This record gives sequence, C-alpha cells and structure tokens, in this order.
Amino acid sequence: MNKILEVNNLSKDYNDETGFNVHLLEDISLEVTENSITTILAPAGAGKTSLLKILSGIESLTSGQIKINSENQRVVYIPSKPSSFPWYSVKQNISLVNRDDEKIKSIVEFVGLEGYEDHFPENNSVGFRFRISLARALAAEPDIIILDEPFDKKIKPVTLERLYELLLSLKSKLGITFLLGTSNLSEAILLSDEIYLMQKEPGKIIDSIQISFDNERYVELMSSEKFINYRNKIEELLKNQKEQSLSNITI
Amino acid sequence: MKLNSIQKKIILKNRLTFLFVLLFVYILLFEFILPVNKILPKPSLLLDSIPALFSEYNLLYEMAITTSIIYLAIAIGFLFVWMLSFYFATIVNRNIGIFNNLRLFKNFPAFFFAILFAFWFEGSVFAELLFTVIVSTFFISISFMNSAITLPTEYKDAAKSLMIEEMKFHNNITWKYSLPKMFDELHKLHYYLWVLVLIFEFVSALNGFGSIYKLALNYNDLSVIILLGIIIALLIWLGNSIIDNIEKKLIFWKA
Repeated sequence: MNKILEVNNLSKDYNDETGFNVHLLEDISLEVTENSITTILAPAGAGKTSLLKILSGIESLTSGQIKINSENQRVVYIPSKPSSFPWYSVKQNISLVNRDDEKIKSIVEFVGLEGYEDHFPENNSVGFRFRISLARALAAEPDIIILDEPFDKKIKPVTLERLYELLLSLKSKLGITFLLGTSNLSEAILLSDEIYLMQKEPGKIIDSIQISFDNERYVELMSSEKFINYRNKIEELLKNQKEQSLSNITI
Repeated sequence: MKLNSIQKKIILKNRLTFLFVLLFVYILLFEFILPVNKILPKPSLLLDSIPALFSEYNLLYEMAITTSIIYLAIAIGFLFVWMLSFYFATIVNRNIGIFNNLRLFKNFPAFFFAILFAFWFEGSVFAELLFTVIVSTFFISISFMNSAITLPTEYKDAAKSLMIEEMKFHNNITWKYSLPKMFDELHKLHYYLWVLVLIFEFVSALNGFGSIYKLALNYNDLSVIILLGIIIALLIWLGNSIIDNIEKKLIFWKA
C-alpha cells in the first residue's frame, strides 16, 4: 500500500506562560498508508493533540520532516470537542465547505444524517455533532482525516458502536485514510490497521504494532481471542516501557 | 436559567400583585390619609396633570426625540460594529494590549462626556445623537471584542483545517459566535443610554425628556416628575421587551 504521510524525527518545543522551555515532542517518526486507520495511542497530556495539529498544518514543528504524497493532498483535522457551529443547521454547516447540493446530499446520507438536514446541533447529542463534523470534513474531499479523541466518554455505548461502524465503512467504501489519536486501547485495536504507542514527557513513539483480523471488524470482535491477545501484547509493551522509564529515574 | 411558561406566569402574577398592592397603599396613603405633603402628589392630582404633559410640556414631541436618539444610536452602533468587526477581531487576535487599553474606558463615567458634549454643542440634537452613537458604538465594540476573545479553539482549528478563508471565517463564525453575548450586553447598554441621554438633555435643557424634567423642576411640578418617571420606566421596559424578542427570533443559539 502507498505511503500517504511520512513523519521523520519530528520534535516540538515551546515556551510556556512563565517562559520555561517545554520539550513536548521528541523524535517522532511514523507512517500512514493509504486507505487505512492509523492510531496514535497515548495517555492524556502526551502531546497527541499537538502532534495531530502539526500534521494537519495548524501548528508548527520545531524540527523534523513531514512528507506528503502530493502537493494537493488535503488533510482535515477534527478537534476533540464538538466543532459544529450551533447557529447553522446540518446542511449549512456542510455548505460552509462545499456548496454542491448533490455532494451534500450524498454525504448526509453516508454519515447517517438523512432527514436531519435542517436540524441544529446545539440540542443534539455529542454523537450527532460528531457526525456533522465528519460530514463537513468529507465535504472538503480529504485524503486524510485526522481525528483527535473523537469519541467522548459521554457517548452511549450503542451510539459509539454505530460511530465505529461509520468510520470503518468510510474507510472501506470511500477509501478514506484516517489518523486517529486516542487513549482508549480497545477502540484503537478495534479500528486500527496500525497502532503507534506514545509515551509522555516528552511525547515519544515507543513502539508500533500492526493489527489485522481475519473477519470484518465489528464490536463483538472485542471478546475474540485475537483481540484479547493484541490487548495483552500492547499492555505488556506499555508496562515494560513504564518500568524502563522508572528505572531511568535516579535518586 | 430558562423559565418555563408556568414559572413565567407565576412571576408575572406575583409582580402584578405587588404593583397593585403598591398602588393601593399609594392611593390610600396619599389620597386620603396624607393628601397634603411634599413626598408624593395626590393620585387625583397626578391624573389631572396628564393633559398638561401633552399640551404644556409637549410630551409626544420630546418623547419622539429622546426615543429616536436612543434607538437610532443602538442601531447605528450595531451597524458600525458589524461593518468594522473584522478589524476589531483582528485587534483582539493580534494585539491584546490595545484591546485591554480600550477596555479601561468602559469604567469611565460617560455622564462626564454627556455634560462636556452638551457644553460644547449647546444642546444641538445632532450633537446629542453624535454623542449617543459614540457611546453606543464604543460599548457594542467592547462587548464584541470581549466575546470574540473567547472564541473556542476547536472552532478556529476546524476552520483552519477546512481552509475557510479569513473573511468567511469572521462573518460565519466569529461574528455569529459573538452575537448572543452582545445581545446580553445590549440590555445594559439600553439602560445606560437612557440615563446618559436624560443627563445630556437635562443639562442642555433644549430637547427631550431631560428638558421636560428641567422645566418641571423649575415649576416645582412634582406630578409631572412622577408621571415622567412612570412613562420612562414603561418605555425602558418596552425597549427591553423588544430587544428580548429580537434576540429570541434571531439568536437561538448559545455562545
């Protein structure tokens, strides 16, 4: 499969409010292949959001290299908090990016918002607002969609399952490439083709693991032996890393 | 907190009851028990003064001047801020220092300028309108900038990532986001402008409600002072209701 995004030795430093230099990201290298879901699995505060924003072109990097497939490659970032605009209906939110009615209609249908075109996001659930953000991202005709902690803990399990299915179908039917940032291990295993494990302070990739299942992905896979094996393997890697970093501490 | 219709009805009923009790006490006390006093006029005298307000004090004409100036100034101020909002947002985003310095003037006693303007222009209606427009524009622009500064990062990030151009971003996101907070502040501005315009008119003593006050004070006409107070209170209440209704119709989202 084609590499669509390649990151080499990316680092990010910044000065905080007190002028103290913070070394946020160190030597990050990763690859994203076309039509895949690549996940960055990291604890909160590891610098995931900054990394994803840098890859989206929203923030700048201090050093390193980001290689993209072509100059016209479009990367769309979806923030972790709902970013749909409450003063616009579903349709108006999408038409901010693309005014083609036919396109809007097909996107609305695909993300499961058919019949809700004139609804406003404010009084609706987080899941509904996520679908709007996703629809808006699709309207931009992206090559990669970057999702930053997309699934809020408040989302009901049934809704969450449907959103997982939606992402997987977007990948398989529309060929969309996703780069996902999450701290949820089960979510990462279920959705991803490849997981990059990231530690915090400084944010650094410690390992990567390819995920493949023989069958189609669905939530029930979470109780399969293979899924549990993946889970154990990643937990083991994280545990080893934790011990290693603790052993580095000298008193 | 949003009130449901039953709660609203209960509040309205309580307020009306309170008003009727006050009215009853006033009639009882000042019509029958203390008919001659220097605190409040007899209720019957108050009613007798109503025709005089129209004939001698030219109430309708002066009311037209005061209300036109206040509401025109709010509308012009809003229009100005809307036209210049892109630049205000730029000030907020790029140079917080200037914005903070401007905010200092928010606590400055504007009645001082009212007196100064009345002194400079000797009570011209245009000077009054100019002064009110300046205050209104300043107040609305500050409330816009206060709101724009709190624009959530996720909106900015999403727009940047979707390559929404700067002007489109401003008109469709920053401005719309700021409207609910601006409308909340509009109630304050509305009340504030009434006070300032009354001071201006009182000092210049040429036009508007303020000039009626000045005249009534010169004539020691307590009934007119009280009646005018009631009329102004009703007009402020009506103005607030209109602002509320516009807000409900046009701005249904929360910031």
